[in-house]
Amino acid sequence: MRRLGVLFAALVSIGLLAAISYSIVDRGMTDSIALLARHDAIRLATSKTIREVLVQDEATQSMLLDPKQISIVSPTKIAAYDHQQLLMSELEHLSREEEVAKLVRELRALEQHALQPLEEQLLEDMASGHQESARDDYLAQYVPMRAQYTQLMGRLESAAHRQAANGEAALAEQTKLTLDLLLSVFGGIALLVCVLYVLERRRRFAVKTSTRLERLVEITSQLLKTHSALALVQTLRALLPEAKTVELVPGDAPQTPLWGLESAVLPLVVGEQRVGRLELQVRTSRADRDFWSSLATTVAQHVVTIESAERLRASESHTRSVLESLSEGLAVVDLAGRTLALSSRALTAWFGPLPLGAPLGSYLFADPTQQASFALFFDQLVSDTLPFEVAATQMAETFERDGRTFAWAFSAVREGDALSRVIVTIRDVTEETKLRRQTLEARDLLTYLEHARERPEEAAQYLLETRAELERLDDRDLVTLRRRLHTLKGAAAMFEVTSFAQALDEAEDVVAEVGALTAEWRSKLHHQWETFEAKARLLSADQPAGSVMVTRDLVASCVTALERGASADVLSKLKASLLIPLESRLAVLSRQAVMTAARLHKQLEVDVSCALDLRVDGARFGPFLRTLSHVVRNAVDHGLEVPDVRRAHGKSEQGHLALQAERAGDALRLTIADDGAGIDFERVAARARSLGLPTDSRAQLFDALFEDGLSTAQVVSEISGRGIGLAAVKAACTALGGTVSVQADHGTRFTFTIPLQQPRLRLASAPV
Amino acid sequence: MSLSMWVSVAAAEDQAIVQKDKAFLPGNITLTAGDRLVFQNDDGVAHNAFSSTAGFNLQIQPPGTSQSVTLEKVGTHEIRCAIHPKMMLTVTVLPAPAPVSPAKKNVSASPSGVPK
Repeated sequence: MRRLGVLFAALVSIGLLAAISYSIVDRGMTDSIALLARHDAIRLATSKTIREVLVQDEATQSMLLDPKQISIVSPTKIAAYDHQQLLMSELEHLSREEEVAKLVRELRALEQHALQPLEEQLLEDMASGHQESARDDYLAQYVPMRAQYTQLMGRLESAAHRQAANGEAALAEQTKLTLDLLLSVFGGIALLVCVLYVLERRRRFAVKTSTRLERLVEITSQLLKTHSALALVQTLRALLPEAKTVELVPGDAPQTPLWGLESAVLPLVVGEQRVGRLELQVRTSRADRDFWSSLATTVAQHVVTIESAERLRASESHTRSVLESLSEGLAVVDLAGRTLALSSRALTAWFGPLPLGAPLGSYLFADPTQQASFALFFDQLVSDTLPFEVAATQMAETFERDGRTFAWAFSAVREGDALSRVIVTIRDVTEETKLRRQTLEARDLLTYLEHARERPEEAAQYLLETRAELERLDDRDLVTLRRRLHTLKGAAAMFEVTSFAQALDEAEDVVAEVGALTAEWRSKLHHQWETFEAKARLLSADQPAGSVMVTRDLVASCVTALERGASADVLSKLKASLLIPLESRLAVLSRQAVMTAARLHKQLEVDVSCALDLRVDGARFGPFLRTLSHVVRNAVDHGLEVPDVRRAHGKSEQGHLALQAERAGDALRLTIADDGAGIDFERVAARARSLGLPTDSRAQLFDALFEDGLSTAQVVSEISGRGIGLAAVKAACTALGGTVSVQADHGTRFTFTIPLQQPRLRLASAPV
Repeated sequence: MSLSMWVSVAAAEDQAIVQKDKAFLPGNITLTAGDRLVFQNDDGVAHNAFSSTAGFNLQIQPPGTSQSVTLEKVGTHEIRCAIHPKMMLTVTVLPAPAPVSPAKKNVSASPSGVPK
């Protein structure tokens, strides 16, 4: 509305100005035109007057020649006279300019006071009959006077002509002036209209674009929240090649948009603080209808991209913060075993910065052998030959690096069904391991002490034998070395010195891998054993090696018998006290079997059947009895199925193990029988063949069972599976002059038959 | 001319106009159709009297003479002097009374072209 008012006022002003100017010019023009017209009229009147004078002159001449002509020429003459008079009056009226007026006055005077009276005189003379004199006077006086008159008329005409020319010139001048004025007025109006139009167009454009600019400002402000101002400027420069300026203007410099440029000023806010502003100037020539919207769209898309990238970054940073706060090491590797972006800070702390794309094995291990073995394992892990979870158990649960122990686990990341990545979780278990080992050692010590209190002699024997065996560990004969290690492991398990059993198991691993017991391992075993032995001896100090514990009852009964003179009884009682009760040994084996089963998540019931008074010479039978733990472990580990499998085969979920000892004449018959899966003879045959053993008959297969290195187990464990146990058992049994037989119909049954008394021959020869 | 003269005689009156000091006296006169105008030149110079509308010219009239003309044509007529253009007489001719109309009608029928 205000703009309309301004427009209206401007138009009215221009109109008024034009009217005034026009009236001025118009008056001038009117004057000029009038002047022109007047002098044209004067010229016309002049020529007419001359004509009328000539007409009268002619009539006069006619009458002077023939007076009778009067009746004919009178009307013409008088009409010409009247007309002349009228013309003269008109000329008087028209003559305003002095030059013209003067001439007209002269003419009038000449006509009235000279020419007309002369003519009348001539005609009077003619009428009076003096025609001759009249004609003479006519020629002598009238003709010159008339010539004077017409000459005056000529002067008048030329004066009028001059005046008319002046008028024309003035008119032309005024016309030009008028045209100029009109032109300037219309030009002014046109200019005004143009200016108003342009202003209005700019205003409308500004209104139209202001919303888009607001949008742009809004979008850009969003950009600012996530980006540095400089990055934004660079982004906008790339986005707006048509923008004349995309500049950072510090502070609040006054805005001076140039003509033809649309400008947007964006406040630059970092956090809560306004640090400056962004000035964006865009050529309006490019700012057509769609420009801003397309710009806004582009920027918006960019914002979306940036936002999603930002969100991704945020989520990554979140993940990273989680990873960094994790105490566990986490590495993601691709199927080639190369590390990917995500890793946790813990890894960096343990192993140094994680190089992206490097093989994880070379990152974790410094030793090339370990690296190679990890690479081998990883290939197997990601190949589909074994289920991932099964393949993952093929690797030792822990590894050592720089004196620390780490436990690791592998989990599969799948995309659809396909394995895409592997997440390796690594835990520092150094302290935990140490603690566990200490706990284990303490428990081991306690259980040993328990055994030592029950069977002090045997326990003492175990300490002596173990020390002796350890001393004899050498690399000269690998088979013997492995057998000794295995027996040591069995004995340790017998006395439930678990920590030492584990150490021996690991040593066996080393021997299997390296083909020798390293000095490091040798000293480690010695150290561990000596620590244990020292504590054990300290705690069981009242039971020196080689001593026998007897009860008060036994001593009392011996005293009574001696008083009665029954020395034979005393002798037998004392002899018996030197023997060890088999029942207690079987009970130990039974306990060991139950514990092993529990660890393997199997259910087991053990029947021990043994006469209470069945005793054997501890020194003689000790090594053999210790090897029996191999048989029991084999039965539980390999023979006994897990409950699900047993149920599937129609068996009770709980497995059964029978430990039976009986006297058979002079011999001891010891049976260890389970109702497990029995022996996989095909596998035994295959293994035997690979060892170059004969496999033709069942007997030969049984023999093969007792060979060193034959194990049908797929997984070597602390419990069993090295193919050494049965060989050791057979060796010990044979050493006592006994035999072993195996039945494998329903489950497995081992029967050992060993003479109770040492063969005479050997006894007799022994002292020799 | 003779006919009209005759007709006008029947009921005519004479109206005198004196030409004196280069002027007609009186300058205005009203008469009835058929009346006769008599010009008396009392001036020292010859005069003339004619009218284009009334249709007559009395030629040159020397001083001391008189001439007459009968005006039949109804209307206003201007009478001028060819020698003295400033002299002017205005004559208004009124129609003649009704009783004369049969004779007038009879007479004026045939010689209408005669004055020309």
